[in-house]
Amino acid sequence: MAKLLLINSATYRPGVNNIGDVVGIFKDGHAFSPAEIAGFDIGDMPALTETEIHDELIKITPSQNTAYRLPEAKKWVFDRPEEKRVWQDQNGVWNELATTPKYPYCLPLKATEIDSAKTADKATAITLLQGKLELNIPKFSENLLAIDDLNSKVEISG
Amino acid sequence: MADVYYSVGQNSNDHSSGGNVSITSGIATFDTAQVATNLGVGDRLTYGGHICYLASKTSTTVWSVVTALGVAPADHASTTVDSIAHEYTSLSAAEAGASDANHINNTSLVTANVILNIPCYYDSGDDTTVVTVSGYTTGVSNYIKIYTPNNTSTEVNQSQRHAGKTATGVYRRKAGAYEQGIINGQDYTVIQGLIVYTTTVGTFGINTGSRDNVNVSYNIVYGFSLDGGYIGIQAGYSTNVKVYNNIVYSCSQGINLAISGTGFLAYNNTVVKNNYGFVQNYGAGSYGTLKNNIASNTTSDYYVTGTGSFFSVTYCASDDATADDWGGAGNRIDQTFTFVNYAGNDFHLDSTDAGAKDYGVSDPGSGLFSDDIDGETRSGTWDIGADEYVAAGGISISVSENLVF
Repeated sequence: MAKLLLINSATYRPGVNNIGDVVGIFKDGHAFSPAEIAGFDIGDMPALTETEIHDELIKITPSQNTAYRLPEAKKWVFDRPEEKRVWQDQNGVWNELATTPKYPYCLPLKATEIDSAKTADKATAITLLQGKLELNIPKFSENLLAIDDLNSKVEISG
Repeated sequence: MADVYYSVGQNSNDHSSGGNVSITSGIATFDTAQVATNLGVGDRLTYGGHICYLASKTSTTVWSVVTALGVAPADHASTTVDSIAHEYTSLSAAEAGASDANHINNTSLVTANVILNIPCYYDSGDDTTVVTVSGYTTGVSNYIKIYTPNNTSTEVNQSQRHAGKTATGVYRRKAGAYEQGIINGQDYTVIQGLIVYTTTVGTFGINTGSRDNVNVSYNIVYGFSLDGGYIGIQAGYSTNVKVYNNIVYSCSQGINLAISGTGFLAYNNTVVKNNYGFVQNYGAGSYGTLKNNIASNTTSDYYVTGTGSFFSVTYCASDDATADDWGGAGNRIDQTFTFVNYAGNDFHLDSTDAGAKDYGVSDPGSGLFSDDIDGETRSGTWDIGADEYVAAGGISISVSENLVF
């Protein structure tokens, strides 16, 4: 029994967010304000709980970590090692996380899908979520730079 | 320059007391006192098919009002109050929605020449949505202020701010697993008077990001301890970040400053029960000006790695030997602090305290603030930490600050 607040054309800001970005997840009984109804799409999924939606988000959430580039091995230095945030794509490849998106997830539902979600049973709602839910990290080209040192033992599938 | 106000609660129920309202020269006069405790600045007043927003309070029957663009609405003869309600039901929605066509209609606060005020209210529970503040163009006179209104004479019927310790019944931002409390990606931002906490594995409480000119004050932040490495208040690669009158506890690190030049200023914070208190762990360099802070933590109170250092530490106190490790006047090491209820996380100074009371330097921010986390006026030689001890019967007066950045 949950509702998603989604960016729509009224709150879309080029370069900042995307249509469908998930701004928040609320309980089914949540009453949005007139400003929210006017400015956002409401993804009403009464067949799913907040937890079930979070579970679907977690399924596509990539591992993230901090990688360190050490100076010459076994040598004491004063400077800290260089570090980067990295994320692991679905093929197991570690990439630089150069840009953290404002919203991690996007659910770009069409108007017909928003309507159908309101009456969908659990299985249909899950299928809709799994089919439409997008991760925003890979939408930034600078986040697709593989860090070779971290991937030396990764076997890329496909 | 105009102030715009859009309130945040957990619902947008009508909390008006009914009656009629007339509007003349930006003053709304009600024939029925508007007495809801959670009614105040930023609330949307709907009347006769029109909308305006409460901007300041004179009394429960007289409020100044502005349009969505911050100017006085057209005069209006007495008509029925349709509703008074919060504009948004989450801080994340307010942040995302404030620039839309029904509000500022611009992502540039400079072009619109407004200050975006987002007062946060308690209706029924915590705000559990992740908040990232970004995507606006801001300036020194056109900033974003996220805060809890607390002045019952000029802002709100009942203070929406904590009273210097964690509490229910006030606005709280609760972070979920692996979430941050508030992520700032914006220059010229004020985050003031919030409780930001987690009961799970949260990461950062308030993350100022690598942004300049950020004011973090009067907040209570606790519980951010994921993997033993996370942080209550994090200041990134920034300059002119002012952090004062905050209490941070039960985090892995209390307040961490990255490469912040000399522009990281931490005054009168109480940082206790964390693994580390103040941390500068970004290597060589001299960063952060610390004055009047209490640190009492399990591993180290003032901690620097490598060859780095704090730029200046003065009139700070620690319960270990670290407060004076970088020289500076007035520092007090190996102190015992006596709080009102340490076990219960009430870190107001007790009357018997001999570690911090009357050992600070007065006006460390040169006019930035003159009160404590409770809004009580500091007097005499200031106490160290977020609380100024005031004997029972002291008055909380909600001093308004003159400086912001």
